[in-house]
Amino acid sequence: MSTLNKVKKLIEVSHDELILAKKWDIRHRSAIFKSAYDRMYPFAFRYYFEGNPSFLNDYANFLDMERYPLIMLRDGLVNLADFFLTNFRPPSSFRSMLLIPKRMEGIVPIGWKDQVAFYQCRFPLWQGQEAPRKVLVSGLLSNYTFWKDKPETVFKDLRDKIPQESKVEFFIPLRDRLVFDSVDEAPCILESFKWLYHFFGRDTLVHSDNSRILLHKLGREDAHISLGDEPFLVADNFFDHWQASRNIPSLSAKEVAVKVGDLVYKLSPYHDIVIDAGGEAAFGDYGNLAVKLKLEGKKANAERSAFHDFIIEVTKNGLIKV
Amino acid sequence: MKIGLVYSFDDSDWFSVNKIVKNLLAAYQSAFQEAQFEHINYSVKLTNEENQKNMKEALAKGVERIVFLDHRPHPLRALDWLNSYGSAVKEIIIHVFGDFTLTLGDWKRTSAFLKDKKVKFVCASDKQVELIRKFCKQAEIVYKCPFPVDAKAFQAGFGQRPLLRAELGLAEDDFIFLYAGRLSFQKNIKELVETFLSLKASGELQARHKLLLAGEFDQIGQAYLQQPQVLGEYFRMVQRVIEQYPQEYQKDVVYLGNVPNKELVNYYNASDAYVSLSTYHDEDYGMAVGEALCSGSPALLSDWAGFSSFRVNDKSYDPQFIPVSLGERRVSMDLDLVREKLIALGSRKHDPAQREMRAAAFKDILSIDACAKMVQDIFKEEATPFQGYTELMSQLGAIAVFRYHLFMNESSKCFNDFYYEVYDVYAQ
Repeated sequence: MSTLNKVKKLIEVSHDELILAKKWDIRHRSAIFKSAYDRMYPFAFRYYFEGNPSFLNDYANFLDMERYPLIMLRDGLVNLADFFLTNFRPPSSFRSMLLIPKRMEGIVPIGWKDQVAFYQCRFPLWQGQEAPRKVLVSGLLSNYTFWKDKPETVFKDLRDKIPQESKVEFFIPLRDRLVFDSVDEAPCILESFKWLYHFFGRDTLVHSDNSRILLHKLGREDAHISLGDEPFLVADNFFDHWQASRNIPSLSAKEVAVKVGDLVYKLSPYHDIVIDAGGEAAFGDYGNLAVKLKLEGKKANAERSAFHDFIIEVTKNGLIKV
Repeated sequence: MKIGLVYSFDDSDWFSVNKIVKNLLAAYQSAFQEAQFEHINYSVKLTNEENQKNMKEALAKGVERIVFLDHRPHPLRALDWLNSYGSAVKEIIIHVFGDFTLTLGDWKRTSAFLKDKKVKFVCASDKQVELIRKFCKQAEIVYKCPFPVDAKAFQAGFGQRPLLRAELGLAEDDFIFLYAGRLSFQKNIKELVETFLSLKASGELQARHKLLLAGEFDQIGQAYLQQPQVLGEYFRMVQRVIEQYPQEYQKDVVYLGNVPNKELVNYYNASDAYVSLSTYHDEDYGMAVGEALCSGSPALLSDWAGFSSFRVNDKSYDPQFIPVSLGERRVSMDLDLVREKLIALGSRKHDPAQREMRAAAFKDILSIDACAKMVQDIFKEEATPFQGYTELMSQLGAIAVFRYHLFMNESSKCFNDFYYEVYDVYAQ
């Protein structure tokens, strides 16, 4: 049976006991990432799909993962790279299928070929002739957000992407720590606000209240956009699903091409998930990544900031394409 | 007589509450002179101190009657301040919302502030009157006044019907069943969709029959049984049902998304029947149902809670009702009967004259003017001093302090005895 057929079958027979979002007894792999994902609310918040969207950190170990025949990983590069560099092929007893974010397909080792498929979400895109009435920008102000470009460039790009006529509001939960307690995000936050106000004006409304942001309703004429491209910690963002399920178009989501044979499941009346068996880029970057790690004498460990720096560096250098 | 109207000047997170408060306000403004009012902002967006200041300032202006038009924040704190600064207040009128049973702990505590005061609880439906009476020692202090419908905005009118149908790709002779409201587990959308599609598959409904769903999916789930849902869960439940049927039937279930309020009337007028099988526990009224009926739409409804009050003198205009009963884990209904009624409704022809008469009949009991008259009557009634809540309130209010799920049996995860004691009236 092909991997896609296996995935299809598993989705068909899925039920609440096989969905992590319905569980109350989750055993986390790492306390550091447990707090990090809590801090990343609502971006790392859970949502429902029979494919079992979750993070690697939601499973204590392989034994724990085996309880779920299908696991759709929402992790970003750091955790996925750590996972695959540590496990270049699945343990012999491991039968579960993994769904990996499509943009990370390069870092999956070929040893996992029979047990992985790749997904991407197809969100509503802004297609209006006129500018959106309001654009809500969402994201976290952290060093991960500005991995490629400085805040000045990111906010300038954002200003260029959003039509001048649109009213702009920001949703930015403020976190002085994100992953490591030793890394103070405050300087990054201060620098970001400087450029936010520079490009969008002193009167720009910034929401930071987690508990109310999901009640902040956008309308038919509005749109939303991600602050930056942050593939390191979360590759599949709850906030995008939240807005999409209300048919709020995105200015930052990309078009998704569906090929014959791909699996497509609706996640709301307005957006869906497309699953494929892997394109030309699949399994392509893993070798380079593993060799580079070895040459630099480093170890894969998502709980170490040095590994984060390594992943950011190889991404910047183009060794990993995301 | 100075009347203090207490409500949040800010919009609620609940779409229907915004309408309710706005229309209730309009009813009071129609019933009394504006000069008599003191508008008091009591809002979750204000601090305690700001709310207290607003209340204190209004009371200083000689308010004699206080009317609570809103449900959030809970009246508890305001009643406390009223107790401290409102010696001139002769009567307290509280419009009760569907969340009464979710805040029993707070209601129990109001007893200390209401004792010996002249209090009137106003419910939006007959069954809610019955439910609230279970908690009050005096039945006579509980009144009924529906949440008003803006019958000027929601009325029969078929000018837009062909245009909207064309916009939706629907033919003139298509028969449209419409549901408007939240797409929620307790609203039984899955059951409605499943019944509709099974009738299509069996040939009892034809290609011309369509089901339109207006509203957004929510995550409330079965909250009383500790079964909240996550984003997308209820949509997938419904979608899996839809995907069991061939494409030719699937396309006849149409999601409209969130329809702006001003456009809703066009959808009611463009459709042929409003359908709601809701057994939602907060369904003390049903604003969408009221609006559909004031627009003249025939309706098929569960005979549950507030829906049961949507009846007029001329039975030919009444909705069709599906009896319901309280089960162990959810409210149940006879889906075979739903099938029969959908088939019967689906064979009807569009009858503009009949719809206009239905709209007029419901306007007579639900419009802002009709409710203004009821408010005046309630004001005229001599109020008696509040003698306290019943033993049921005492028990549930005390449990609410330490347990969120008041109506769940912790061991079986089914409804407990309190549930049947409180909600039996909603299913009668």
